[in-house]
Amino acid sequence: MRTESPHEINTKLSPPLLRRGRVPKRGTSEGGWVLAGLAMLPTLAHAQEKIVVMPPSVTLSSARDARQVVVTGFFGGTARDLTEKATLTTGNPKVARLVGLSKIAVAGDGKTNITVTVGGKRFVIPVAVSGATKADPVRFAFEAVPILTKQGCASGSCHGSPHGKGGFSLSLFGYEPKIDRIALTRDGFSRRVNTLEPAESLILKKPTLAIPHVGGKRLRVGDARYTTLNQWIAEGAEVGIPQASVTKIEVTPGGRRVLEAPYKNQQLSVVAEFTDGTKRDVTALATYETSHPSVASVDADGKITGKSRGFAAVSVRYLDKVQALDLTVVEPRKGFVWKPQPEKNAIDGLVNARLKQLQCLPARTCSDTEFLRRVSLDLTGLLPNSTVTRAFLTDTAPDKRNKLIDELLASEEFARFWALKKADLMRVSPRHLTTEQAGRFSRWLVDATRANLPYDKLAHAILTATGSTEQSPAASYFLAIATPEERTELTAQVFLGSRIECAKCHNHPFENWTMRDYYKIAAVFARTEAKKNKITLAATGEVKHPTTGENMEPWAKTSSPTEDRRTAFASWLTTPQNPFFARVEANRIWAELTGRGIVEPVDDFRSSNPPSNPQLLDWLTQEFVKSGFDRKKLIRLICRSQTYQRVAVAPSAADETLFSHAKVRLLTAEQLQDAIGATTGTLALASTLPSQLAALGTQLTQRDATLEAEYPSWLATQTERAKAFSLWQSTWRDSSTPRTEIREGQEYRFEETERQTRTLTRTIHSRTAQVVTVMLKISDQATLTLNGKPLTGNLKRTPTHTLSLQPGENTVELRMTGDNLAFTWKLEDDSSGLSSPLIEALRSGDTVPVRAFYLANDSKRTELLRQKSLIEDRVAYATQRPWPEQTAFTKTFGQPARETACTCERRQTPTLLQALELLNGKTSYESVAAGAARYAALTDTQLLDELYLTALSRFPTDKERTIASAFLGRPEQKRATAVTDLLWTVVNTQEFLFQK
Amino acid sequence: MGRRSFLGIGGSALGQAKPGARAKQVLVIFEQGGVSHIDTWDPKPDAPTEHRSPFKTIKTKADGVYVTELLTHTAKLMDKLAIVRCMTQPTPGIGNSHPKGSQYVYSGEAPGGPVEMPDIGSIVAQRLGTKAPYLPSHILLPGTDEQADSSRIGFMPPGYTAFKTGGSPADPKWQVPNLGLLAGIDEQRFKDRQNLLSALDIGYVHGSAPKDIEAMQALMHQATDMLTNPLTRKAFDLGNEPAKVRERYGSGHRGQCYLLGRKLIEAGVRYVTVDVREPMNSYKDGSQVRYDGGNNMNWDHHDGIYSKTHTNNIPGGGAGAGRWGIQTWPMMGSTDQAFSALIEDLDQRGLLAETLVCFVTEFGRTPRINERQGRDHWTHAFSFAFAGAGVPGGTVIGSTDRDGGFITSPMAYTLEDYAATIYEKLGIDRHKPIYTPQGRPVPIAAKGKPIPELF
Repeated sequence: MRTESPHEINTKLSPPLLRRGRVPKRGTSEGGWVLAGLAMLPTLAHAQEKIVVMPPSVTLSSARDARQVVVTGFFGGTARDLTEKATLTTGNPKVARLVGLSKIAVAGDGKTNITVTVGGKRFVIPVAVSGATKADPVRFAFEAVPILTKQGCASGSCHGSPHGKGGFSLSLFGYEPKIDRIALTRDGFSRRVNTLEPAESLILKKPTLAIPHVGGKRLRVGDARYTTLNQWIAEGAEVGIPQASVTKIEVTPGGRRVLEAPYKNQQLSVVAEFTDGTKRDVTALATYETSHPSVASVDADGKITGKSRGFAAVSVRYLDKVQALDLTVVEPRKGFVWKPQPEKNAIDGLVNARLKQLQCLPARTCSDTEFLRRVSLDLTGLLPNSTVTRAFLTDTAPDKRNKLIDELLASEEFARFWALKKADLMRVSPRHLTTEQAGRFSRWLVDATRANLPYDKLAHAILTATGSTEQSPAASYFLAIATPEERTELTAQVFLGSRIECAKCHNHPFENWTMRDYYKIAAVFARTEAKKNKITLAATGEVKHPTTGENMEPWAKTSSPTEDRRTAFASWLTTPQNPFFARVEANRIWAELTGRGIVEPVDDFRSSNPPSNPQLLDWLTQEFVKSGFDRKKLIRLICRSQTYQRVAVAPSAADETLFSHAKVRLLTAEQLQDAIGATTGTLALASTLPSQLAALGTQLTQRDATLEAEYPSWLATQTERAKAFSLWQSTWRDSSTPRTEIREGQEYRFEETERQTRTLTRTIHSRTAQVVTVMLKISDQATLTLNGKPLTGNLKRTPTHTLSLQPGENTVELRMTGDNLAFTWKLEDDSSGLSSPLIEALRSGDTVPVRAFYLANDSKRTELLRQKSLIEDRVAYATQRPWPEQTAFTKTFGQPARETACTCERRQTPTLLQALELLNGKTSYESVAAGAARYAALTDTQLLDELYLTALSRFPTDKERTIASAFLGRPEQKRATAVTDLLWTVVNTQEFLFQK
Repeated sequence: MGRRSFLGIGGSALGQAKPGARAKQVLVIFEQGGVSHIDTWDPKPDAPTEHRSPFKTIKTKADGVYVTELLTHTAKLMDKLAIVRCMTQPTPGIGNSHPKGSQYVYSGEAPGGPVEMPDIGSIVAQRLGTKAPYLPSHILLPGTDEQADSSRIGFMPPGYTAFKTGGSPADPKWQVPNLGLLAGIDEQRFKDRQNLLSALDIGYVHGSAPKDIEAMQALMHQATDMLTNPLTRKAFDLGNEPAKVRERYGSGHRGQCYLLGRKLIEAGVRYVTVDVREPMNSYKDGSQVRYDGGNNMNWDHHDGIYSKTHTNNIPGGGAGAGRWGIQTWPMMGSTDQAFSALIEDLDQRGLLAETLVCFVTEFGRTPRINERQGRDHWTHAFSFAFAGAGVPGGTVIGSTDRDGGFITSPMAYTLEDYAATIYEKLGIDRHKPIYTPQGRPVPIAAKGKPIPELF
């Protein structure tokens, strides 16, 4: 069984990109044959030309072994597949023979050379053959099963579906050969496989349509795969499950490749390496898939055909191993001429290079209005207010855009709006947490964003959070989701940009993540226990693989058995070399700012989902890592680029993915709600919040001073009162610890839910001997003793009990046993509402709790504090508040309920309900009506300036002034009504609803 | 194709019906709670006396087809109906509760799978789009909170959620909320606003607008249409139906719900589900009526199924306290009248030929009468009825044993088959999956096959 250290994992799961850009060097075993300076294309500089023949030498060790040869020419930096142009000849056809044009196969034991002639040059591949005469039976798990997968038999919509098809059920994509073995040879009365007459086997007759097959034609009689299956059956349909397994597959060429018209083909070679050290060519057995079939197709034998300009990933799968090749297909566009473009930083160079390569011209620079509205919404979620807008539009400083970016990045609004994006993914919501926990976690994220906590530290802090949420607000990450499986999916999606959930039940085709990977990550969280308000680490706890039942080793090895498994994982995650962590976040930031990820969707990184501009993503990742995971720095860099500051007009209609222009986006639910509020004036300007807070602070100080002055007389009165009570009770005590949280007349629940026994005592002070009635509700068995004497009767049956009190102190003891213990106690005393702790404090002269009670019970002060916390949490602002309000309006506009870690939970496609809400919804109706008065007081010119500057960050045009003034001046209408209608109109324009 | 017809409710209607589709629209009558099949569509006169239904087996218009006397009116139209007596839930236990069973009927898929399936109606709306852009294409009548639990949008965009009318159409003051202009905004003012908007909305100044802007503009047009088009209100306005028609359906809650179902189908709504669940405080003949004790007015007859009024006084409580007996007016009485009226009316209006009508419930009821004189849940065998859209009338499909407990016919059909039947009738390609936002392909009615006898 393979065990993986984090280092090996890196290699295994590193996206092909990190290992790419590697041009085969000089030719020994590693690089293949190279001949530099080949005079093949006279137009190119000789020094840049070379031809590489792969593999450089071949060892074939069994009768059916073979190798695909791949010949590549490099001309001026671009690679060209010459495999089809090359002529192969064998030095000894009795040792090595050729299959097709470029495949070397076994003829007999011995050594010989294969000569490859291409472009007038000759290359020699030494071939050594052994074992040619030994039987080489078809191996079920390594050949028959991959063929059934490759031909689509084992796909999810055919026999690989959970219920199979037509009574024939295979394991999905051949991941469980043990199941397939039974299905093929035992079920179906052995008609599926007929070892006496192989050609009569159903698994050959059906897919060749010799007899009807709902799934259509899947095999051709006589082709390689048919022959292999046929031979396997003829050899007795051996179904042994081998000890060996595949360690890796090597795809040649790997990495990235540009195919330039007219040379748009590429032959692939796939070699599998097994745990027993053997290698086999599996080019004919591997399954190929292309991410963009319109850009490139790939046939069953691994030959890629470029079709049209664009990019695509070709994924190669053999059993559970996946590799991909990133392809760019370049074709000249008629009449296309690249024009030199302004560049503000390195981003533009990389974006423009890609645009130039795929022949799209970028758009021109956007206006100040467009930039101001765009960058304000992107960085703060809010529209710029009219004062800011006026100042910015009239500012003539050449660096005013850069200055604006810096100001916005330093704002409180930025910290809140960008923390919200993270909170969206981590279930920071009262649906999963208590309001207090959600608030704390959210504020913690805001603080981290404000302080620009390096992203690696942020991730580390969250993933290793332990303790109560008061001390460790990020512990809520684990409180919101309880199971190791859910934590695995959340963590993978948030930090690894990977949708790993498919791997919970099956290995996924063309996914890098296997079921084993899934449960190894789950094992990381197996010992993280969530209880009420606290995350603790258990000493034990494992996760089992659901099919094999084995305890999974955690993903990253701990340095000692007692180390928190999460620490090792977080360290693996946040190392600069981690192939996902920085890359995923850099891509997320890019997507937040441009409306589209370089990898899209942003949480679906896999080798079969290629980046639209790999060099750009590489570079952003590298900068992000180099800066110490500084998110603000990366945001600043992107916002400053020419790419970010382009107009939202596509100069060439074709491009939606290469960032030639800005993307028009419907404002998010939160942005829209706040934008309507800001435009109508029902939402106070965020810039006024500090002064509002200051005013409240002053009021609080004043109130405190008043309270301070009144305190001595209050204290004296209350102390008198407390001493004069004829009947009062002390606080409850639990083995002599006061339990002040148990309130008179309110149900109290104990924390532990398991069966337990609790004994509580309290003292009842009575001036005289008297009989009192107590109301007692208990959840389970209990005994009650008064002054050492147990009360008789069933405590549970009757809710009220009489207590005969003696003068002075009486001791009550309540002893309860059971699960989910809870009780309620109420005794009418004459303390008229003063709580037991307060009375005790007053009687003992302990002023600290008395003072606290005094302050807490002042309704004016409480109200001021409440207002302060509302403003501090900015609850009025959808873009700024700690958790989503989930109003009908925000839900309609796609605000996520924070139920999943997927960015797709935020729905951004326009819907009919949105249109109805905008035209006829209560929210905009009320907001517009409430805001009209403020505008109605202005002159038409002032009104229109203010309205347009606020809503659209620009002055109205002359035409707009004319139309709007005419509307406002209509005699039959009251001004307030007309203004309301005008406000309604402006917030319903496409220019308002969308960000350009 | 115009912009509006391109955009279905809440999104684009990219799919199209396959040629030769028999149904253009579907009307589902979902009688929730588990209608006793042996008291209605599948009479069992030879069942042991102590468990036998008290209702007579009667002849119908179709030779050799019998139902119980609780379907007296419907029996006269049996030549237009096909009864499927071999409905079953393939995995007993999954849909044996009302919430799960109802969700099963709404989605045609056993709840509890790896992803939550949307309603059949939502998938239909997405695949076929709308024929009447001023109306939602998937409507649930009347739509209470309880139904909100059974009707699900699953992973699909919220735009395809069933549009719920709420309230009781039998209430003379009943109106559909959200489809009228807000108070204070009369039509003239709304028109003024619209005019100003078209004058001021410069829209997208540079050439062709991006997809989302175009979509939003089209949706705004559609929304405006819904808010102002008299056809929208007309489709919901029962007041413009002749009194005779309203009476023919029955002037109570159920009759008016069924009638509204017909109106919406006539107006061009693609998929209508009528899920009645009569309220205790209901309406009849335009005035309020109260069904005493009736706080459980569905078909879940665990207690006193043959009570002539309601079953309030069940010894020891009982799950069905307050439910009315199956033969009472608010139950089969109104059902027989409304359903027969519906079939007759659709037929007379020429709508039946292109409308698939399905009379469904989540399961049947036990062949044995329990100690509380009720019948409990029974998922092994139950009956659905179908009409229209090429369904061969006067046919009975499948059979059950002497007391209606188990299927005896070679064929047995599942709720998945029911869903596949709807898709096939509408010409929806079931082999084309729908996709979750994460890109997972989800097959539709994957485990089902269209019921061949209905074609």
